[in-house]
Amino acid sequence: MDTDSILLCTDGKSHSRRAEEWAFRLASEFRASLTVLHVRDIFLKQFYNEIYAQGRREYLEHVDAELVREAEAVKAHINKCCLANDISCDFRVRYGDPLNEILDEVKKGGYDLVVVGGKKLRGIRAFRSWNLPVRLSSKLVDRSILIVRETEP
Amino acid sequence: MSFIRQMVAEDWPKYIPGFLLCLFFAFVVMNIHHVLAKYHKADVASLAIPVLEQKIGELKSSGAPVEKVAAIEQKIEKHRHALEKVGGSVGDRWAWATLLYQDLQFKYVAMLLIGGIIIRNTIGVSKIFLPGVGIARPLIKPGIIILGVHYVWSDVAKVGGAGLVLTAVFIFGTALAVMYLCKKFNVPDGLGGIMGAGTGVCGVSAIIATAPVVKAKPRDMAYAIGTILLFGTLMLFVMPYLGQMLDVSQSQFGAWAALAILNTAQLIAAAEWYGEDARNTAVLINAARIMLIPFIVMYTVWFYDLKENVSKEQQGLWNTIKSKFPVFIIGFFILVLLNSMHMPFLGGPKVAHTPFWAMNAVYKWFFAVGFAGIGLSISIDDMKKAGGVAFLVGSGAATAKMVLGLAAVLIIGSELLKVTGGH
Amino acid sequence: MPETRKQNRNNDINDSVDKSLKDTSERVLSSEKREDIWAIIIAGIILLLSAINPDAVYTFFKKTLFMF
Repeated sequence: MDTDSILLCTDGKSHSRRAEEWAFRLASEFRASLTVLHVRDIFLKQFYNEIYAQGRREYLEHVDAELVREAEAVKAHINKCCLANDISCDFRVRYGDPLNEILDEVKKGGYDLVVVGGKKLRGIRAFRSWNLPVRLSSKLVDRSILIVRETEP
Repeated sequence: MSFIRQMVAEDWPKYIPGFLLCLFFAFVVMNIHHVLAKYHKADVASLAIPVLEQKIGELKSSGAPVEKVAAIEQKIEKHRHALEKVGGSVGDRWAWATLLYQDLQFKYVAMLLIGGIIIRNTIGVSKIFLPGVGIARPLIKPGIIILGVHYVWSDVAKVGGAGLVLTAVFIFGTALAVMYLCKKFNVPDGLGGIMGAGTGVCGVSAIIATAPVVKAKPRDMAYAIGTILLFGTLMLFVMPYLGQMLDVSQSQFGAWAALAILNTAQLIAAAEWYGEDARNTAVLINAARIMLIPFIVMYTVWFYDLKENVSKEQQGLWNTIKSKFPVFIIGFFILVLLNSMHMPFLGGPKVAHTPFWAMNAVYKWFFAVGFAGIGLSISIDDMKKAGGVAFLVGSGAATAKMVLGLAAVLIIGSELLKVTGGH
Repeated sequence: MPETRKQNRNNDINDSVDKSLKDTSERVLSSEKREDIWAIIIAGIILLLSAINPDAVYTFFKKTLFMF
């Protein structure tokens, strides 16, 4: 079994912590290169042209600045983890629809393993369309995917 | 030349496919609406003609005045004309048309919005169409301007005035209550600010105007926008039926919708759905309320003491109004002004063969294309992002506004809210 | 990989992405003022056409466009 490159997809939230730990551990065990992908959804931008929306330019600039700021925070967190685990990683930020961006990154990067965190969804949110890891695994048919739950069994 | 260049987006060809799609969708739906209306009228005529003929017989035998008989004969003539249009005769029934058109209120607005939502969320709208679909929505604006021919200044003073007082009380009341409660329960200022402005006036438009000022976080914005879209869409479909159940008059419904439905397009859609008088009142109150957007931004800046977040050019009353005022509404008031002058050559929406009469025939098409754009851009995925504190605040504010708004319009009564159009 | 080189690499990626983010903003922006002025111009054109030939405008929008 050969695992040369691992892609960790994280949103930087607490439910991705265990996925991050797993990815770091796997990368050092397999001596594989680790790429950390953080996708920021830009769907908020589409509302700029609400019919009476005033101050659209300021709105778009504000959304951009906030998205970049949040991505920077995730990057700082990942850098800290890298130092703590004594491992190097390639951190990438993409802006767009999370599913499409992850698929595109996997296609371009040719990773052997994709690691994602799987939040436990309750009630109406448990529907498939909300569940990114499930949608991802159904689309990534030629790649191994590891869905790490947020808590120990 | 530079003005013309400024007026045209550089990459305009990308808007064409989606725009054509909206035109086609609007064209098909308007024709379906037309066919339904035609058969519904014929169905009504088929039932009415025998009744009216019997009435004429009774009137004639009782020696009633000739004018009275002539008026009924005129009505019969109209009904016969409606029957002729579908090639039917008295006794024929088209109950399906009455069921769809009258009982289920399946009119062009409902068809475009529901149809658009179904298309967008099932088969989906291809990426190539998306920019054009977005550009079709603002076509509602020329439609609103053209509707200016329905009003005279006395309407603006009476309905717009009553509406303005009512909306000002509701807008600032909601904004104040929401912002105060959010502060009390330690909701971040960013979220409290956009929810206060968003639930107070014009929904997402107000969120966009205030988000940069209160430095709202993306997650909070997603929650707030999702919540407002969700409630707007719910109200749009629930209120017309609720209004009919509670037997609310047309003009009262227009005012009620203008208080309870935040999103302009959804408001116009609901009011247009309910009837022409409802739409007239709603559009006028809406015109009055959107002029309050700059003030709600100023109010938010004041409430959260955010002067340093606003650039120097946008500080102060005049600069805020200049940067946040919806310019197109000036066009609406120019037409109201022209209509108020009663210039004979311009006529009126009901005076045949005059310019305003012709303009009145056009507005529905602008609305139709705009509603096609709106329907096709309502994504259930965005509404699913509703959640968190924003959902609690949004649902509380929406319910309170709906109940209090209904009470307010019922107390005020129809007369003050009725648009006369100078007649 | 030394820490500084790693950081630089990350920054390069982020800079290019930030630029693409700004580009999408520029691309999607439709100025509200432009939209509003267009709305007034369109309404003005309709007013003008209606003043020139009200019957033709009425017939086109009330009859010709309804094909069924």
